[in-house]
Amino acid sequence: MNTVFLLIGLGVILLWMIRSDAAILFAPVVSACSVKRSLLVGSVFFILLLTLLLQEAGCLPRAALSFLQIGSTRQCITLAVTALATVMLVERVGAFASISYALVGALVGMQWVQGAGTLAQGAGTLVQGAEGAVAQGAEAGALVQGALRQVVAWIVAPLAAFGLAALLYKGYSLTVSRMHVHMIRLYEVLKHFLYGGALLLTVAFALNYGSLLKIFSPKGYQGVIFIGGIAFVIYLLAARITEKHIRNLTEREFDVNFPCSLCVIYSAAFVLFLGTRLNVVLAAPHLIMFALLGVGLAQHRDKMEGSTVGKMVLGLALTPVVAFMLSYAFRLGTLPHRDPLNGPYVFIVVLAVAGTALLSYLYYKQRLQEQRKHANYTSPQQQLFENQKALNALDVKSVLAENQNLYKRLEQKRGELINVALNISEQKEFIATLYSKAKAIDSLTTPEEKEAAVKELQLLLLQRKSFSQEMDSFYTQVELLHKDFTLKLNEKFPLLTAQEKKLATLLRLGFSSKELATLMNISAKSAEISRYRLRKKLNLSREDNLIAFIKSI
Amino acid sequence: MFFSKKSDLTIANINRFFNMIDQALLVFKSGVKDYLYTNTDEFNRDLETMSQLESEATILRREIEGNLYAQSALVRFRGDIMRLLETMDHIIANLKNSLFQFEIETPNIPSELNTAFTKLTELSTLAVACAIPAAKAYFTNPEKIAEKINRVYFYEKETDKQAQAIKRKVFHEMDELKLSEKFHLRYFALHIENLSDAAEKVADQLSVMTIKQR
Repeated sequence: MNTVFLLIGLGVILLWMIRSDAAILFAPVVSACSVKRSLLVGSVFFILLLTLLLQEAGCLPRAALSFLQIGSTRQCITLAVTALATVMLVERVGAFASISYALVGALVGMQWVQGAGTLAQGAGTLVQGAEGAVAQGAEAGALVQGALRQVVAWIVAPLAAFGLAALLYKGYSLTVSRMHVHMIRLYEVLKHFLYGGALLLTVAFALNYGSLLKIFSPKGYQGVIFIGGIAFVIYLLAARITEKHIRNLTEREFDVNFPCSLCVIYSAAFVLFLGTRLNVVLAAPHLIMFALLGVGLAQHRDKMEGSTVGKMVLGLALTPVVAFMLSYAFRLGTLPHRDPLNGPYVFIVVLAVAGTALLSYLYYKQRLQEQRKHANYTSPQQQLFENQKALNALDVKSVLAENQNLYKRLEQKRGELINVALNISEQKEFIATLYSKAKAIDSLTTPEEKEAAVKELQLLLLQRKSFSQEMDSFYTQVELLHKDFTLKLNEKFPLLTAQEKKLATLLRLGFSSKELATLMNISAKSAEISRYRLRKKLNLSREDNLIAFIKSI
Repeated sequence: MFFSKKSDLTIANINRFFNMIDQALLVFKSGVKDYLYTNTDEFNRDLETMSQLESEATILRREIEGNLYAQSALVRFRGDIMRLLETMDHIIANLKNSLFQFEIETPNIPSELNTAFTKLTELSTLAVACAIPAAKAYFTNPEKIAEKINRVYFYEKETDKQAQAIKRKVFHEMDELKLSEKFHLRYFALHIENLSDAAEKVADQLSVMTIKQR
């Protein structure tokens, strides 16, 4: 079970190492020159394994980190969990966190508990024999010395990278820039130097970080195969995440050109090599960032925003401290024979609590800032969105209304067409009847019969003159067009007859009494009387205007 | 080992491209002069040469762009370089179009304006000519660009002044010309003036590119 946990722990540490540390490491290379990011991520794993193998074979040096020793698998798991918790916490606060700082901080924290215990035990064993006490004391001293050396290296290394990068860039601008070589030719040459630098940087990274990875794996070649297997799985699972992270970094923090990138990677590689030689573990991202600042100094330009630099320094200081405190508190809780209220424990526990409180405060502040920024960003967007939504709704509504209107008109036209067709056929039938009746008159013999037939014809024509069918269709059309008016009229004056409703509709259309008489097939006098009756039924006084009233309905 | 043949070819092509622009400027100057002094045969020859130069320059630009895409080292700058070459190519297209417009529209330029038009052409082509060393300096000595583009700006301003002087003279002093003829002359002055504007555009682009290269 422990081995599974160890595997997972190592896997996640490797993933973080590649996603965060290695991504920052290669961002300047990708920014300056088109390199396949997937190839870069794969090559990091490959070179890491190759370096570890060569270290095993004794061909390459190894950062010994002799002051840091791990006893059991359980301690390894604790270490991995603490380091991961630290980097995640620090990144949540918004600062750059390096897994190497977290691992070393956690290791020191873990051993500090043991070291302090050893000192106490040493005092106890002093009575029995001075030799054992001296050995335990020396072990604790080595731990303090080693930790101090690490701290000094963490302060000095970024400064060294800063200075070296500035010097390299100055040298470049004093020599190569003055040669006036054609840009294409120059970059063609520099490209090879850049690839070489990237390779050197990868080897330096592998040498420096490899010793940390070895803590989690078995000794010898077996351990390298163990790391290789996990690295391969991580590459398959997480290459995309790393590629995306590198792309984001190149677009934001590391938009640098060729010479700048060269100076940064060579200075970082040199400092990393030096760190390995001096047996100290360094954080590659911080070296890269400080080197970039150094180039900025040489160019008299700000290569990075102030807030980014602040976050970087905060990450530099916070990561090992938080890892140390977390690891210390965790280890202290798991040891059975310790009295946490005695000696230096009280002080360190108080420090851990204070640190956690500080981190929580920073995290809360960061969240608050993010929320505010988000609100500032989203509120106008939300408003815009709502306005857009309202506009869209209006558009849809108007389109629907337009559609409805068009549909109505279509129906009306269709009705009109049917009416025309019916009318034509009806006219045809009527003319045919007239023709047959007129033809029949010829065959009649007596004048009486002929007179009767002519009178019949006249009557037929008179009936036709009343246009009853056309008028019906006309009223249907008018009712359709003034549907609302007809409905309201029915609602308000239900006692009106059909004839009066027709009259009201015609008046609304603005026809005069004479026109009304023709349309309704009545005399002008009858039209006047109908108007008078309508006025009465509508309860209108003499002063009221009938047409105005009808139009107001 | 360090240099590829493709790089050398690209460099040679870029230099050829700039030289072609220089040559096109000379042809344009001579073409305008030939038109003004009615040297028809020479003018027709200028037209032919200009047409040939324009098509060659476009082919060359495409070749350079293809080569630039293949070079991983210039990933950050190739977009800028291509835009610069396109603007320069646009200048040659402008030169050709302007010269052909003389042939197609045959504007009636009064002989008293010959000197003014010659001067305008000189100034305008000088602005473009000064942009060429500036563009070349971008590849070899970017620090010198600022110094070189100052000349472009100077000649651009002078061209503007000359064009204004021509337009003023045409509209205020030459009453014997019809309004349509005046418009026509203004249009041609504007065309020649546009060349210096294109040079100014190149200068602006170069100054931004220099900042980006740092």
